[in-house]
Amino acid sequence: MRRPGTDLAVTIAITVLVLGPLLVGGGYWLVGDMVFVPHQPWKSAWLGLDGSLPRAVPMDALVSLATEVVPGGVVQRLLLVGGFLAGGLGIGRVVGDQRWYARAAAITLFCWNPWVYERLLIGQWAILLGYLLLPWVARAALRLRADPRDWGPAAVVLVLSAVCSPSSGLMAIGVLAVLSLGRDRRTWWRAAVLAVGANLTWALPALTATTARVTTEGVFEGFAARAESAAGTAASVLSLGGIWKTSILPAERASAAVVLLSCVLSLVALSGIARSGPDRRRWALLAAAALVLALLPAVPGGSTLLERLADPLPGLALLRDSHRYLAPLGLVLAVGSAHAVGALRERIRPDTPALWSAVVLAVVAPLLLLPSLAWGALGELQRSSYPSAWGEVAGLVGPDDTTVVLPWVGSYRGYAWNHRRAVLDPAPRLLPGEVLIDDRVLLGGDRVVPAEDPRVVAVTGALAAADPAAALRAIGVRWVLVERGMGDPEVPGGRVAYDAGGLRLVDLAADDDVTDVTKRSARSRQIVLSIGHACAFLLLLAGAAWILTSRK
Amino acid sequence: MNTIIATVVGALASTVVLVAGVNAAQGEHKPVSNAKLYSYADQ
Repeated sequence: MRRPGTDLAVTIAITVLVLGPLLVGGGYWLVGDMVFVPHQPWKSAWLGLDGSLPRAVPMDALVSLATEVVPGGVVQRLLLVGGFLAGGLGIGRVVGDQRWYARAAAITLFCWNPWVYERLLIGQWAILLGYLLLPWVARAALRLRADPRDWGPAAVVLVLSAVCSPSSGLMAIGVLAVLSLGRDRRTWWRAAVLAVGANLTWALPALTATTARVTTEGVFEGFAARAESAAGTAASVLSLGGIWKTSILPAERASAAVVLLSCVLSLVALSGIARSGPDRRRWALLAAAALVLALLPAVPGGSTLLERLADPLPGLALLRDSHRYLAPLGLVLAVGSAHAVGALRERIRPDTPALWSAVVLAVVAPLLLLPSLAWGALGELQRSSYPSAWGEVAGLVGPDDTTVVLPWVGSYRGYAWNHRRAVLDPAPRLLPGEVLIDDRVLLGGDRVVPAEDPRVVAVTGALAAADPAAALRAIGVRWVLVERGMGDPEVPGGRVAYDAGGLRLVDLAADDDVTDVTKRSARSRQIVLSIGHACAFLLLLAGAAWILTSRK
Repeated sequence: MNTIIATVVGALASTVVLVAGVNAAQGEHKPVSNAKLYSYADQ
């Protein structure tokens, strides 16, 4: 029944409709956490080997390697387009027993919903990629349950999900567990080995980080899901919206009518799950778990409970911004949507051809309910290009140097050349060596998540010292990069090595020697982490080889 | 029967297009101000 051609056509249409502006010209989409640079120099931090808290390990390493071959702008396009294609074709395969229009309904709902919009606009492209891999995780899980020896696909998708982000890795484990585990104990231990092996790549750096501390105070409340409209938080979350970051919400989601109509679509999709065969309870469990996780910090007492639990269990910090764990609900709703459309089709009789219009509506409803996602979020996502000053500054800094970036207030910037969109400071990815920025998270009001890196705390103290230049030299800082146009920070004295294009680079080493405090992570730790990365890589290779050989 | 179905589906579709479309069209380009730049929820 399945014809991949129609799935591909629908997926390409969705991809072009969402990413179109990025594909028709040069430059980058730089928004929120989405930072790509022309060339990302290699650093041991990309693999977590420097002892810092792994934030994008090992994705940064892969992006760095990719920009050795092609420019960062091409890497960004390949990742986003590849992600959407993988997501659309993947969900088409999960509901491959359905007719083409039912699969089209699944594809549109999976690739075009508020969760996708919000994660794209917040710039969490790697987490979005993890979401778009979930259909492949579901397929691998169903295959593993059918035959516990069929472990190859599960290995590949678990490793790829873990590469995207820790939360993507955990979501993949959750989906795999719910859909694959049964009475057969062989499946249990195989799934456990695969899950651990695939996630070593970020788990080991996190568990052995020496120069970072995790803060959980106030973060669960600050990142809790929120109501977008008068319809309330539960309605927002049920319709795959409700992110905490209110400034990026699409305008139509502020309308209670739109949110409630989106809930109707979700309920129709959930009703379709009841017709999804013997796995319907597993799909329902997955949806319920995603909803509970997303809503937990938002219910009265929920964030306090999580904070108390996080005291003895700092790993619970992974549940910060638990709204991201709503992603599996998107998968379930897409599957349910296909089955609901299938059920609707069965009711069409020769005397009720008008029901076809309901089928068409089910396919296009996600687009109609969220027109803001079209064409670069209707202009919210605009292409930008780095001024040449950034490349010239990067050429002056050495790979063993340490640079402090001013203004020392948070890590997000609103450059004029980037349409004054808030974006994570690109300096740590663009400049060689160690680049220190203020990593405090300012949640609004008085709430501030303190810096997690002791080096950042030391810089804060040095900048407040009587002679900040000497204090910075004493902690190993050679360069101060001042990004202009965002306040007027006090700049430590030194030789101005560069001053153009909105950037000023001050060399503190011109007046005196810089203390050598190069951060050296323990050799044993580096070996352990290297083994972890190697395990995940080998698991990926073995899984891919298994898939190729089992097809013969 | 066909008329009822077409009316219901048409009404639903036109409501969605009108409400979502009008709201989306009214959305503005929102450059971030210096004052709000560092406030995480406002970016």
